[in-house]
Amino acid sequence: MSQFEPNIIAFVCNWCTYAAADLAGTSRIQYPPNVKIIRLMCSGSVDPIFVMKPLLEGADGVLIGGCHPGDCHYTSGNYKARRRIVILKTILENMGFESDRVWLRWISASEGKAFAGIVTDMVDNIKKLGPNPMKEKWDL
Amino acid sequence: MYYKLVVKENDPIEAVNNFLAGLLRDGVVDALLVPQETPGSKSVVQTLVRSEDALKSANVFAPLLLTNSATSVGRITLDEPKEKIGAVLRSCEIRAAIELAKLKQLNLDNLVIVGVDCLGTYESKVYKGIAEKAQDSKTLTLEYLSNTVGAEAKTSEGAGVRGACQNCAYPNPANCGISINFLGLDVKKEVLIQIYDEIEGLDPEKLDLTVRDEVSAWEAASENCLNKRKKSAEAFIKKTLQETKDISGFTKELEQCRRCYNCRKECPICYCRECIFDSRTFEHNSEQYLNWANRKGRIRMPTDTLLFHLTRMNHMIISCVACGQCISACPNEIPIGKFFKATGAKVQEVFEYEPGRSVDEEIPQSTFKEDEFSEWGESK
Repeated sequence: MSQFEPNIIAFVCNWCTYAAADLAGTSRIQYPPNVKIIRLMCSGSVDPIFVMKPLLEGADGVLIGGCHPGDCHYTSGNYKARRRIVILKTILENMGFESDRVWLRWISASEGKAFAGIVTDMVDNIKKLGPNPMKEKWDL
Repeated sequence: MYYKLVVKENDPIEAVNNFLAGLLRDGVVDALLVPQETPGSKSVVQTLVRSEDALKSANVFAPLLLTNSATSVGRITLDEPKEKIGAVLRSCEIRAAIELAKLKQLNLDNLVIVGVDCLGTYESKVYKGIAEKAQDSKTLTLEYLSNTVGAEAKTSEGAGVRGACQNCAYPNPANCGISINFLGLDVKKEVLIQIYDEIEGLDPEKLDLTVRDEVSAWEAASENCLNKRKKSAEAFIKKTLQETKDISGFTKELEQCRRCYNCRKECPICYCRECIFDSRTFEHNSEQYLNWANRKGRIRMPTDTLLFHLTRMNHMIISCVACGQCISACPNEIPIGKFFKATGAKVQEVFEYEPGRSVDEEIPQSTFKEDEFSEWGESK
């Protein structure tokens, strides 16, 4: 059997984390190809439904990347995102989901290396968790 | 201030109706939202009343709540009516109204909330059965109220009382201008009226109210009821969280979901003007469905049932007042609200937020602090 390769969906902010991912690429920093990046204008525009849809469809992890606190291009989007993700993960935890599949990370435009590191870290962690059990569920 | 409303001929409903008529007559309010018995089937529904004469069949104590009226109060008050609106509401309705006010879907200016003690309400099916046998809703209600005398006031754990009510830790109304209280009192003789702040045009004397200093019977019964309910709510939450240790605890209930969206429609909090699930977001082309089915071998149709419930949960759980209308509204009797209550308690605890507690507390999603949840975004 081939080794489990997790499927990770990343919602990243246009101004910081997307630029960091871009920098990682242009700097030729290697990181696992398991992550599918979706660029949004701000982590504050991540509705919880965006995170849950892939999780319920069987994605093995969802990463939300935004600017460091205080650095939001729109002043406060990331603070609002933080509260929303706190709510989301508290719900997941208490409803019996593996909330460790959802990661919120602050990665600035200059942190290409950090982006690669976080993706590597997340892939390792999710490999340990195993495939998302939702993959097998059709009754949702 | 505490006032005594004297009850004549053993009829507290009539006494309260006279009091409410006085509010209209004296211009304390120009219109009043109040529950009334319907002419056909002894049901009790909310009515918007303009004249004293139209209050004859009002019944503020009836153990039936067909819908959480916070939504109606929002509709009536939102575009800043010039006239003063009064609304007779139970605790769950007031708490929802406070949340709606924060969501800018209800206007508290020019609104006089008249809160009523509540021992719980029946499921409408159960109520209908009781009403068929009873002479009228008044007789039925008086029978129900007869359990309330003394500190050991029964808190309606009885059959047919809505589960949400049995675990409701808010028997007394708060955040109202006027309250009508009866817990622990002999309602055949008297009802307690409280007037909280200065209300323009309100003269207790004109309304046959006499000042009352001593309310220990009401206080004792209320506290007793509160403690009992708090205990049962705690146990209920614990048990529910145990059930949802695994996601199947929730999904097995959703197997009965017919996607009518009644839970959402009846939710007083669900605030989106247009729900994403009514939009075309989830209408896909044929190939998409076939591909999905191909991937898992089969998919449930319509798709995204769990996603609907979880999305609704994410959007409004912080403001959920646990009124249980989503449960009553479900045609397939899915206890959806129990999950909202249990998980809601956990989410609300994180933000030390209690929905309906105060209009001055912002809804957690609409605000933030810079120095909070500092490990989130770093290692969480």
